[in-house]
Amino acid sequence: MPGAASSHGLIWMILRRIGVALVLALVVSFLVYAATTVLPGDVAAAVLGRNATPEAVAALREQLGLGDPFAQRYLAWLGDLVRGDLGTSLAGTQMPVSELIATPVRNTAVLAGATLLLLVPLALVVGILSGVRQGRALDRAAAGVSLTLTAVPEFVVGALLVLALAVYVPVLPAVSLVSGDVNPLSVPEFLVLPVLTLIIAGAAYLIRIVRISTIEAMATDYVEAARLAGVPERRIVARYAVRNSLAPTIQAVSATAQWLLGGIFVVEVLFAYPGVGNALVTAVQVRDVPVIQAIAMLLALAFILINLVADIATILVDPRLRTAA
Amino acid sequence: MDRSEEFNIRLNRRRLLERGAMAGAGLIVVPSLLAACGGGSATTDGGATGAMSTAANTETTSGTPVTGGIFRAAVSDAGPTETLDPHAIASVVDQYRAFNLYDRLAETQIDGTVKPHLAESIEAADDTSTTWIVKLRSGVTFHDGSPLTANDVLWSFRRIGGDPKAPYFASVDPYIDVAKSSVKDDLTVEFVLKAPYGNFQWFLSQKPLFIVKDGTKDIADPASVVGTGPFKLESFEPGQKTVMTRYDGYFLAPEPYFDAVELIQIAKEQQKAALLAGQIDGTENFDVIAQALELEGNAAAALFRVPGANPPQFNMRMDVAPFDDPKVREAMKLSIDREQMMSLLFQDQATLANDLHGASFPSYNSSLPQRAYDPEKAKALLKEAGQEGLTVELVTGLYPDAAQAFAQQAKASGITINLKKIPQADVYNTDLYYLKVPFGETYWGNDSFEYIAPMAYFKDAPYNETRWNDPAWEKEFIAASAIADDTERNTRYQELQVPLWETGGEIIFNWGDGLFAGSPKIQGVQPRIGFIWNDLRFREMWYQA
Repeated sequence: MPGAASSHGLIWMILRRIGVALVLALVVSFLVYAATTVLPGDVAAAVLGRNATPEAVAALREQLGLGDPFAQRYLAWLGDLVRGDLGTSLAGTQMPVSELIATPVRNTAVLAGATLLLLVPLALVVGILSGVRQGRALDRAAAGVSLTLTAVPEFVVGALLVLALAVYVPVLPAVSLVSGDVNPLSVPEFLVLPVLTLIIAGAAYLIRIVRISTIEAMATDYVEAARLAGVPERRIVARYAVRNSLAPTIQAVSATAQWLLGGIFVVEVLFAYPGVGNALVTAVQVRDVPVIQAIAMLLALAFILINLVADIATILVDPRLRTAA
Repeated sequence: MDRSEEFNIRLNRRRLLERGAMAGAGLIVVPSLLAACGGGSATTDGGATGAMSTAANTETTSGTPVTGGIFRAAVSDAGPTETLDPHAIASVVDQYRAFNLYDRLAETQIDGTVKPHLAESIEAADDTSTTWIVKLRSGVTFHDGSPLTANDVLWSFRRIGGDPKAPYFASVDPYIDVAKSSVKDDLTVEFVLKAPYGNFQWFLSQKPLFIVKDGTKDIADPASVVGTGPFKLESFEPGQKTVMTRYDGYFLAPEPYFDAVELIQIAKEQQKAALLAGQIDGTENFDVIAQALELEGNAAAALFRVPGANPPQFNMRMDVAPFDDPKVREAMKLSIDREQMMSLLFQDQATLANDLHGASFPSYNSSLPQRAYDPEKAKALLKEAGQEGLTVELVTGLYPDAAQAFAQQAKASGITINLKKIPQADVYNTDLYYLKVPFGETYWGNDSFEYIAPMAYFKDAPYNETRWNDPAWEKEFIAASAIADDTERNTRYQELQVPLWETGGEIIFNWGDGLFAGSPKIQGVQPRIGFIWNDLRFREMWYQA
């Protein structure tokens, strides 16, 4: 069969992708570490702020190992990271970083998961329908609305939603006060506005890509042939259009997921949602370097992982790509 | 003597800088909700904070406190720097807690005087004012039921002033000899001071001189938080929420009235929306005054005021050219349009400041003429100094708007102020800017001259931003602090302020008011000098359903 690769070739392709991902992760780790330790002024003095007596600064420098050469510090940090030791927070309670960010990570995952679970099916349905009924009322309406909404920044969308649904018509909370270890899923009213904001801000891109790929798939020869052969339109859409637009759709979903990682920060701060975005903002404000490094690395790894999974999925889904080296 | 908003020196820089972020809003009068026995606006003895008008309040309550309800207050700096240790206060939220879980020996009253609080009496043992006898109230109990004794008081002071590594060591050690101080009996402590100090009663009312239980092993551990205060600690989630419940054994019964107080972490930008959505009952001081004023007439919110809470300040280093010439310094002080600043920065929710600290305290010299915008005189002074067409650089991170306006206003005197904008977080960075730049900014809050002087005007003081250097003046100050008679002491302090005003390096131009909002159901909030929410006395407030 033309284009079919042996499973040996397939595995090799996947391994290559994984290798690239690892190298990327390494490069990012270096950049993250370098960026956070080259802050202007002394890190120790910055952390201590106005309490920075010479003795306190010296003691903290000692504790942070700031006197050691950069390479040594970087490798030590990297080694710890690989073993799962994210370091110790510099601030107040001096908890291990992994303990500190465990709940925020969980909360952000819940928010991101809830958003994607709603956004992706919604965008797929709207996109496919728009593509199939290209040029007709639904398509035009969907295009107009989504393009308008996409032009508005997330924080404006969020602020408007708060005004509309929490202040003027107080049905939803303005601030997502999920306290302690409470699982946000058990207090869904706090998720509604943040998720809504993210969906409004992020759906348009995915809808457009899905629409375009659907249109392209519907315009191919084999779809035309299937029509002429009398295959019902619905089956054509399901079997040919959707399946063949899968590859670009996977890429678009992964791009949306990556966008989401960034957009979530804005929404978390806007709604005071106790996730990783807020934790990072707080850490930056108090110069809690280990926490900043850990969260930055986690995000980078999430990004790289999403890419990797999307690449592999695309390869598996599209046989034509399997011959590409 | 009133306490004002911040015991700022030792505090977390970030919180300080939040205070410093200011913008303008218009002049609108704030309704004040009066307590049963409260008066109208706070009186200020000899202060120059100006009149504070109160609108007719159609919601005036019957004024009788009712027990019950939960008060949810928003805080914005709960986070990694929080601590439960009242002797290591570093954030605003730490103060919210400490003031309500613990007590001090003395407290400032709404009229500005200081009265004994945990103490029954605070008296000098003799004329020298170096030994003081503090008698405690009897019947005061800690949250675990044990009685307050003199041992607890001495242990608390030794904890702060006995260990050089303690965060507030420098607030106690120069004054009290904790080793020589002793317990005379169950309810009497003898404080031996290192030098005569006349205003010791006021001294004991300062934060963070909270009384904790003798021998507490780990004060920052929620499980061992035991104080004498009106509320006890129910739960503590760092960075998120603190819950305090009423202590029924509080010695000032029937206070407190709330069943519980919750401190909820919400960024300032979201506090207004959260209040309007009914998720909280109180905000912090608004950074943007216009947003506070928008709540005027809104049935879902009541607006409150802290007079004179925000004094922005520019500093000139007196040891560096061109500011080493007193004529240049005076010219700079005359080149700032204080009236315009009030309208620009605070929407006229402010009063004029006269380059001196502590306008709301009795030690303030209010007889000095109020400096005004006088570019002509400034020009003349510069000419005499040979500095016509002076060009200077102002390092700004806290008040970029004010700095911009100042640069504009100074043009009329022929002065060019170039602005160097730095990140807010770097203003107090001692490596980069703090105590280094010739012309910069700082923030001291509404503290008294008496409180600030040893930290800012002594030659080797840690925060001598202007490099005021006058050994004779220092000696006079120390002699003045030793005077027991309040009136005489304050007169001497006022005299000391004259050379500061004439030749000092500080430009303090406005006393901006702090505006904060709350649910209209919260009663008992009075406009007063000090910190927010009746100087954090939640015990005086109640919930009218």
